[in-house]
Amino acid sequence: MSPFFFLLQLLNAVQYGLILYLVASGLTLLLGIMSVINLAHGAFYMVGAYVAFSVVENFASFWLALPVGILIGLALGALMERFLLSRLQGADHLSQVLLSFGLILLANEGQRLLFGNDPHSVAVPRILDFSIPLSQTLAYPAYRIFVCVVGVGFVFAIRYVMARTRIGMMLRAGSENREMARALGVDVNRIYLGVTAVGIACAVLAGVIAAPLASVYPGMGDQILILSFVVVILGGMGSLDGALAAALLLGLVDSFGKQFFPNYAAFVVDGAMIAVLVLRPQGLFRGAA
Amino acid sequence: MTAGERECLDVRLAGVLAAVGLLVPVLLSGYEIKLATTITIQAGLAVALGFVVGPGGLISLGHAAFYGVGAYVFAMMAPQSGPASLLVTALTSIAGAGVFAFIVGAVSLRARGLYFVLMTLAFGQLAFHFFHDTGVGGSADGTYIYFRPELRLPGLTISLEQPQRFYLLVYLMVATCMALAWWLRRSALGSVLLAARDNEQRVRAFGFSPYAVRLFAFAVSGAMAGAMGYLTAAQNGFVVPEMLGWHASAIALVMVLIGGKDTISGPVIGAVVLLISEEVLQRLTQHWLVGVGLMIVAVVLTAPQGLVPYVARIALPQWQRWRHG
Repeated sequence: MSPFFFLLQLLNAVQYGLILYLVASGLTLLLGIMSVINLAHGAFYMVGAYVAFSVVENFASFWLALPVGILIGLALGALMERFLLSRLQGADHLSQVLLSFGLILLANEGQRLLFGNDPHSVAVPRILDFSIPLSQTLAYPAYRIFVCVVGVGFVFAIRYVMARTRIGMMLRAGSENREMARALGVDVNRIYLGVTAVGIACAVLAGVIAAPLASVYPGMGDQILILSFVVVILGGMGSLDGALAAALLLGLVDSFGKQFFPNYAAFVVDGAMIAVLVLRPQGLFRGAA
Repeated sequence: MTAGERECLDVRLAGVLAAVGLLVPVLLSGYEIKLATTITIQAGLAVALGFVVGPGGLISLGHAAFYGVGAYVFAMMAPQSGPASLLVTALTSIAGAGVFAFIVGAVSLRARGLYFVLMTLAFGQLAFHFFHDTGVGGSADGTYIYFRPELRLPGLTISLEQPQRFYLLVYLMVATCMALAWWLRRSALGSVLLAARDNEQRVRAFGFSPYAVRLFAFAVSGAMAGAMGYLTAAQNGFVVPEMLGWHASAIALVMVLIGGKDTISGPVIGAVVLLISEEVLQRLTQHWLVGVGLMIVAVVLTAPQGLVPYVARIALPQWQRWRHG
């Protein structure tokens, strides 16, 4: 394996890991802070990809799809919290599992109703439609670099919010000890609304920026959902830094695993999830709970 | 309506369902009996899952894996040249699924709540990817089974190719599962299972091991799910990895929830309601899954305990009041 090819795979791994992180960060916040298990998270990723497709189709502008996607994500998240999740407070996880599964069916069928069964592709924005040569034979698409930049920007933004702002402090308190946070006057209902809206907007945004990388197709949220759960488990439920490390690790397993053992990559990932749940339920990167 | 009356209603409903089930081969034929067979098998899967979700309080998002393992064991045992022996293949399938469920349970039941849900999800996906990616059992395309098994008794061989006969086999196996689930629930083991769901600490203090009781229930439930997978494989003549995926597990949970997880007739009613509404919606529109999705959301929000308890608590008392003036 030439060093350039290795570099290429490494860049792919980072780019894929950052997209996974974007999806999984919302999932881990929902689990950690609200202990809500949202199977529909992958469906929102799909919504994002189709938002990108239809905005590019109708307005010929990919850049417009970014704010539109974020707004749609915030709106869907807020609606879901207000009208569905808030009614299930105090119910068991079974209701959450089934409710979000019902939402998956609705999202998948809504997608078929609007866009049909055929896969679509989304053009890379023209300004980024070039490749950066790495060696004489290998080049790296500029759009993928852009995805990495957005991902890294998101990492710093969310770390800043969590570590330095008042909202971040409340979120950390809520994740650490919900009852105590409530007792100390944190408005838990507003926190829940915000977490759901932002978490789902992240998944939609991930779908938007992932759309030009590969095709946009029905049921595309299912695979990323399971991988996001693996990220959440490996990183430890509710831990954003853990999720980042786990997402990058999965990016590596995905891009190098598919090179060396294509038939066993998914199998290894599922096995890793079980192993971590058994041996280190607090996550790979956290001290003993 | 008291709890005892509710249970009485539940058992009576189960009896009515069993009687209706017996009429199926007399009244239906052709496509309809195939549909009735499919619904009965899915009802059996829902009964198996309902037993761990209801009295066990264990939300398994991986039960399709046991169902699928039962199907795959049969697919890999069935000879290509003629029918297999029903008793040999069915018992092997059931045992295979039961052993797999025992292993999954032994590991997963150490976890609680969300962790248990995700653990069963991970095991289910592991089994799915095993059959999807590694080349065992025909990879993504699955495997064909060319003959239905036949019942070989000393001096007598009964073919099950005829739909009525196959339905009767399905009926007997599902009825056995229902009876077993009902009996286990009422047994001492069932009492400990229920008690551990409601207050684990106290059960421990009495000297029982919730882990052992749950593991037994989980393995029995997995074996029952495997039996249903076996029947599906025999009915359809093929197996595909999607039988093990988490979508299939979630659909089974939906059936349990729609009917009522804490009842014996509920899972069967849930399977019947879900599959018949699917059938009706499919004839009306291509986008029938919208209807299924809305139905699930509506049930979660309005009757989270399921239809049977909903009817027993709200609809029936009203009817009684009306009847007695």
